[in-house]
Amino acid sequence: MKLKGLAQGDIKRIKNTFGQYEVEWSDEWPPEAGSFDLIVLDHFIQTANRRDIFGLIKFYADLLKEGGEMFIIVPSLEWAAQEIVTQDEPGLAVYMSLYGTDEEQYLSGFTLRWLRTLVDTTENLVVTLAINEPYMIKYDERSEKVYQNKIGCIRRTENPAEAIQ
Amino acid sequence: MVTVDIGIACGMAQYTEWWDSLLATILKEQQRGIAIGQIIAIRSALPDHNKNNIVGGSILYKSMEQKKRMERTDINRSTATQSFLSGRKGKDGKSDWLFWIDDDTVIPDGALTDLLRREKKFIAGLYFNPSPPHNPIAYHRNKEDGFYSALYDYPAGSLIPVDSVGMGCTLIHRSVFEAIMDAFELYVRPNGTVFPIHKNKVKRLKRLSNELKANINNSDEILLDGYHIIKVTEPLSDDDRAWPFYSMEYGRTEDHHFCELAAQVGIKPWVDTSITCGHIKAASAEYKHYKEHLNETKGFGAR
Repeated sequence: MKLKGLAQGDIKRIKNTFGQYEVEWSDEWPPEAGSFDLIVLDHFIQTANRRDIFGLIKFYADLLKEGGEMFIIVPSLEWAAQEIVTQDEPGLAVYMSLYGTDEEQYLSGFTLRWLRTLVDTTENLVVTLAINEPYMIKYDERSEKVYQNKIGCIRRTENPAEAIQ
Repeated sequence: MVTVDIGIACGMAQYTEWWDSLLATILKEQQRGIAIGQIIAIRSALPDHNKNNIVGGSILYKSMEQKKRMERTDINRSTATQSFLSGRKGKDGKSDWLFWIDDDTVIPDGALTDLLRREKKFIAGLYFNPSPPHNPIAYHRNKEDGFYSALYDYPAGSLIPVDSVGMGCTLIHRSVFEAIMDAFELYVRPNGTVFPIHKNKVKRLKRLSNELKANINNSDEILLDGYHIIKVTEPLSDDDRAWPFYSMEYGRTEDHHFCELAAQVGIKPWVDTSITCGHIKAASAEYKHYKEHLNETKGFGAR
């Protein structure tokens, strides 16, 4: 039986990245609370204003079933900052990962630790993965390697320690 | 309710303040809804790569053999694990988890609760090498040459799979040990040491060729065309030694050995870098020492 999924961001990239899951991606709106097995927010939340981020994560968390998983992926703020400090000529991709593009401007930036704290402090979410990993960004017919922060979490309303018995 | 046994590798004489602090930590975890089963304290010793070396100590032993056996970290950890797997004597039920602490790691408040929340069968907090470069005690293994390199320059907050962790702040579910025992067989070498080998690697020939028989010729050990052949036997039925989860083989410490066994049954340890422990030798080695060293090597200067 296929998982019921919700994707926000680059749908093609999400389907490629999460190909190991058998998912039926839903486009219903508004989505039904407590009905999703898998939610992926791929380079999405950085387009929201910083003061709205917590509410946004809570909104998507409430859409998950018990035991449902959510992945939140954002450009890596600490990687971009390090590139700017250490490189004489940081590539355009570095600035794109900080500010977005003319078509889609970023209003927020996240270090892995900050993103993890946001998720950890959201009710009923338990972080199960927090990783910094490379990915390819495409622009002007070029591809460049940049880094993203990825958080995996699971919805648990009962004692999470009892999930493995 | 989740039940946890606590395994502590500690020297024989500990200050009461140390026990007070540890028991206070355990009590707080109990107040968070975790049931503590056993506290298994084991004598530890310096890692002894040469099994013939006698590690120092002033206890009177009945024999040199007993002294050798009593003061080796590997055997002690395996024996403690056996206690965990068997459960408390005279009590019903066995604990679900074994939580290892070293007597020189200072675990942060709530470490056990936080590690349990991550829903990983094998997960560790982070502590650091007391000497420069103060590397974290968590390792990736190079697939090409099998050597280990310490986790390096990770973003703060990472919760990631690695290839090996120390046992200084490490939580392991019962099913990990059971999976290893199911997948491995035990054999005894001519020198009496017992070792595990994966069942998939155990081959039984219907008949040895005459040439092979002639070369082996009842030897305990030969090197034949680049293959090291040792005559082994199955453990005797009354061999009550603990299953060798933790052994010092090939110059590697017992924690690497355990992680390698787990890897062969498809289980890798995770490390939660948000749970950072102090590591006390003459002074405590902490995350800040690692960051200072990292910044200096990057040319940022100590901050």
